[in-house]
Amino acid sequence: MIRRTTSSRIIFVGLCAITAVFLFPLLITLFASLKSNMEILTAGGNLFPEVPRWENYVEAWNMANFKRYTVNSLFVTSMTIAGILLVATMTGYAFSRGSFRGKNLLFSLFIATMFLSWGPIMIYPQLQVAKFLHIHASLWGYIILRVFTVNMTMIFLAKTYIDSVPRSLDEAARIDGCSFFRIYWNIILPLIKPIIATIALLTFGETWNDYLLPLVFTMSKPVLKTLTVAVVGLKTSGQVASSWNLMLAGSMMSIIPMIILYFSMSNYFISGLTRGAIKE
Amino acid sequence: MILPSFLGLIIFSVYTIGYVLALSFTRRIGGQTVFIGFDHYVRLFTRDPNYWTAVANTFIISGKLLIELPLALILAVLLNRKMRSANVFRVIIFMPYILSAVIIGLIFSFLFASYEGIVNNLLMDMHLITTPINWFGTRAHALAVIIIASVWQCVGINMVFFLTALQSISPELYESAAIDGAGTRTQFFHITLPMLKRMTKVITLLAIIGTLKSADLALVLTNGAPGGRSENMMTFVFKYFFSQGARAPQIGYSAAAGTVSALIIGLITIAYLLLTRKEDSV
Amino acid sequence: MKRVISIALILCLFPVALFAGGAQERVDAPTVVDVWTRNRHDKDLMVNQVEQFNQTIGKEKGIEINYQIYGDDFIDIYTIAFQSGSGPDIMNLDESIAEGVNKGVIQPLTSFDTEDWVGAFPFNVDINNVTSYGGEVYSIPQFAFTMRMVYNKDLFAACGLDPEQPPRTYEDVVAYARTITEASNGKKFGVALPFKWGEGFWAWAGTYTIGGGFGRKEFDYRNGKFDFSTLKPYTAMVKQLKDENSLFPGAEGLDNDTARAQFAEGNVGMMFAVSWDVAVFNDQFPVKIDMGITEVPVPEATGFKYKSELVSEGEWWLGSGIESAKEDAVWEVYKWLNSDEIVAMKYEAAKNIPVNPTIAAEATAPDVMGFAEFSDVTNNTVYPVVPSVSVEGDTYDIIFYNAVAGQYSIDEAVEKANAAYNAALQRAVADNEIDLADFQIPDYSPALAQ
Repeated sequence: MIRRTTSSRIIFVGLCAITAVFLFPLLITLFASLKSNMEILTAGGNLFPEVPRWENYVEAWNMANFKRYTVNSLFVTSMTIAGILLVATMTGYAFSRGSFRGKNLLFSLFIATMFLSWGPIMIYPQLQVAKFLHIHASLWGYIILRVFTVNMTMIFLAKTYIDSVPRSLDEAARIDGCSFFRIYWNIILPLIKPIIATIALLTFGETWNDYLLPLVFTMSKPVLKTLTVAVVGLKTSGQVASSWNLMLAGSMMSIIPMIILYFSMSNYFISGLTRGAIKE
Repeated sequence: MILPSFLGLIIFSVYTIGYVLALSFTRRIGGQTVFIGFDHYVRLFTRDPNYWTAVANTFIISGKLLIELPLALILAVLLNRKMRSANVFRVIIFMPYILSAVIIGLIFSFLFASYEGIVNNLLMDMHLITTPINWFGTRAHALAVIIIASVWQCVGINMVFFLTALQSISPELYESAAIDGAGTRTQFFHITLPMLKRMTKVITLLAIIGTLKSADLALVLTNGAPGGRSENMMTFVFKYFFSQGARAPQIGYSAAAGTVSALIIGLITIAYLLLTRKEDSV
Repeated sequence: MKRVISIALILCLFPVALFAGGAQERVDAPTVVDVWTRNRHDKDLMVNQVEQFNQTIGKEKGIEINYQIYGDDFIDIYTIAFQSGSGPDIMNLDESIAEGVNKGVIQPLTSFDTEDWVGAFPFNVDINNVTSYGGEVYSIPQFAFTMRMVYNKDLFAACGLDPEQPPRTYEDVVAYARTITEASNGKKFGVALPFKWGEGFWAWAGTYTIGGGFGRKEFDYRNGKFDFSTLKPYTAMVKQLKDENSLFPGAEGLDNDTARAQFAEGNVGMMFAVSWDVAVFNDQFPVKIDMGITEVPVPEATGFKYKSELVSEGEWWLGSGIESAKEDAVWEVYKWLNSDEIVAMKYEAAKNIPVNPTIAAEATAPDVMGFAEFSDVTNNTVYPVVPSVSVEGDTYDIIFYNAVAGQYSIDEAVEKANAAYNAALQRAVADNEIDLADFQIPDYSPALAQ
C-alpha cells in the first residue's frame, strides 16, 4: 500500500479532495472567530475577516474565566473517562468472557437502555436520584451520574472488541492459575488499547461538550461551572443580540484539549503498533 | 465485575424508565399532576399527524448512513497507515465531531444562506442553478441540509471506530495473502471485510440508534423550518418537553411521544439484530 | 492506559484541593441572595449596581447579591433548577403568571410585604393575570415594551421614496418593498422577516402589532374566545411580500440576529423592531445608515384608529421555596431591585420605558438615538391579557406560516387556529384551569388613538 502506482495516486488525490470538503467548514469557523459580530452575520460568505480581531480571543478568555473553568472541565472529564473506562471494559469483559445465569437476559436489558432513552425528559428523574443521594450540587454528582448510568455504547464497543481477542490467551492464563479478574487486568486490558483509546475519546467528546447536566449540577455553585457551560454563556454575554464572535473564539480555544488528546491517542488507531500478543 | 453497571442499571435506568413511563400517563392540570390513562397515546396515534411526519423525517434522515458508513470505512482503510499526511487527513476528518451543535448550526447557516450563501454561489458559478436556492424553504431542502451537516459531523467518529476495528486484524493475514499474490482489492474483500464483520455490525447498530435519537443538529439547523415540516422524532419530544415558542411544555405528552419513539427504535434494533444474527451463523 | 489513568488522578487532585478551601463557611459570611435574570439589555448597568450594592448596603446589612444572567433557554434552566431544589430567590419569569404559579416556581409578595410596600406605588400594580393571580400580587410592573417599524432612510432616498413618508398601511409596505427590491438588483431587499425566530417573529412582529389595527389581539374579549381573524391582513401582507420576493432571501432560515445585522449593514429597507432593539442598533450592530422609526403600519381598512400595544410585565418575582432564614435579606434585595432609584437609572440609560409616571416625569430623558421614538407612549396602550392554553397539534405561528407558504389558504389558517385554540380553551375551562371571567370583558371597547 505504498504510493507508487497510478491508482494509489488517484486515491491520494481523492483523499485530498474529500479532506478539503471536510476542512472548508472548519476554516470558515476558524476565520469567523476573528470577525466582528456584525461581520459574522452580514458577511458569512466571505472566508477571511476584513481585519482580524484577535481581541475576540482575549475577551472570550477573560469573560469565560477560562483558567478556572478549564481546571473544572479537566477534572470532570478525566474522572468521568477513568470511571467509564473501568466500568465499560469490566462489564464488556464480563459479558464477553463470563458465564453466569441470565447473562443473555441481562445483556438484552442493557441493550434496551440504549433505545429507552428519552433525551431531555430523563433529566428530572436523574436529578431526583441525585438529590436523593445528596450529590445534586457538586461536580462529583455529575461524574457519578455519568459513570453509573449504563453507557451501553461503550460497553457494546468493549464487549465486541474483547470478543475478537482470541480465547486461547485467557485459557492459557487460566491454566497458569490466573483469576477471572487477573486475566482482565493483566491479559485483556493491554490487548484492547485501541478500543480503550476510542472509548476515552468518545467519553471526552461527550463530557467536554456536555452542557445541560453540568449546568444543572453547578447552578448553586457557579465557581464549579465547566468550560462548555461558560463558552455557551459567551453567546449571551452581549446585551440583546448573541455575541457569536466571542462564542466562536471561546469554542476554538476550548477544543484545543480535545485535539491534543486526539493526537496523543492517534497511535492506538494505527496498524502495527499495538499488536503484540494477538495471534490467531 | 458487572456489579457497577448493574447498580447503575437499577438506580438510574430502572427508576428513570419507570418515572418517564408513569409521566406519560399524566397531565398537569392547575398545578396538579393528574392521571389520564392512555389519552396521550390515543392523541399521538389518532390526532397528531405531525408526529408521524416527524417519524418519517427520522427515517429519511437515517438514509444518510448509506453514505456515511461506507465513506467512513473506506477512509479508515485508506488512512490506516503510519504516515504524516494520513495523520493530518484523519484529524481534519475527525474535527467536526468535536464542534458543538450550536457552532455547526451557525456555520451551515452561512454555507446554505440564500443571500450570498457559499453553496449557492458555488452552484451558480458551476451553472448548475440559475437562481439561489432557498435551502430552508422546503422540506426536501431542509432535510438535505440536515443530512449533509450530519454526515460531515459523524463520518469522523465512525472512521475512528473502523480504524479501531482494523487493529484487531492480525497483519500476518495480510502478509501471507501478499505472499499468495493477492492484490490490494482481493485483500480488502477477502480479509478486511470478513474480519471487520463483527465490529461493523456493532458500529452500524450504534450509528442507527445514534441517528434515530439525534436532535441537536436539527434543532439548530432548521428548528423545524419550514413550518414544522423538518422535525424528527427527538426534536418532537424536545419541543413538547421544553417551552418552545408559542407552546408551554406538555411534559406528559412529550413522555408519551418519547416512549413510542423508544419503541420504534427498539423494534428497529431488534429487527437489525435478528437480521444480522443469520449472517453470523453462516 | 495506566498512564492515562494516573494523569487523570493527578489532574483531579488540583480542583479537589481548591474546593476543599471553599467548603468551610465563615461564621460572619453574608446571606447570599440568588438573583437570576434573562435581561441582557441592562447587563452592564445592573452588574455595576449589584457590585455597588454588595460593597455598601449589602456590607452593612450582611447581604450579598449573586446576580446571574442566563440566555435564551432561561425558562428551561429555572424550571429544572426548581425541580432539583436549587432555584433562585428572585428571578425574571419567562412564562405566563398562571403557568408560573401552576409550576410552583413563584410565590406572592403578600407574606413578605408586612408594611404595605405594594400599596404605596403611585400606579396600579395589581393587573390580573399579568402581575397578580388569584387575587394576590406576585410582581411589580416596572417596565414596558413598545413596537415600531424601523426603516432605512438612505435606501428609501436611493430608491426614489420619500424618507420622511414611511409606510402607514400594509399596502404601503408591500408597495415600498417592491420598489426597493426592484431598484436594488438583488443586493438589497424591501423587508426582513426572520421566520427562524419562530414564535418570536409571529408574536412581536405579528400579534403584538395587530392590536393597533383592530383594537384587540387574537382574542375576542367580548365573547371570551379566540378569534385569529385579526391576523388575516397581516398574514396576507407577509404572503404577498414573500410571493413577490420582496423579503430578504431565506426568511425561513433567518433569525432575528442576522436580520438586525443585515438591517444595520444597510441591506434591508424595513423591519419590525421592539424597544430593546435601541440598544442593539446603538451598540451591538451599530447602524451604518440613517435609521427612521415610525409607528407600526396598520391594515388599510382602519387607519391609525386604535392605540397600538404597550407590553407591560412584572420584572422581578420571588422564587418559591425561599429558606425562612433568608427571607428578610431576600425582601431587602427585592425592594432594592424595584426602587425608584434603580428604575430611574435604567430609564436614564435608555434601558427601560418605565411604567411609573413619576419616574418618567422626574428623571432626565436619555439622549440615545431612537429611544425617544420608542418611548413615546402617547399612542400606546396596554391590551387585556390573552389566556395561555395548551394546544394540540400546531401552534398558531406554524399554522400561519404554512398559510404564507401556500399549504392552505389564510381563511383555513384562521379556522384551524380558532378550532385548536378554542378547543384547548374549553378543555382548560372544563378542568378549572382557567376561569373565563378573568379574560372576558363583555363591554370591552378599545382605546382610540389621538
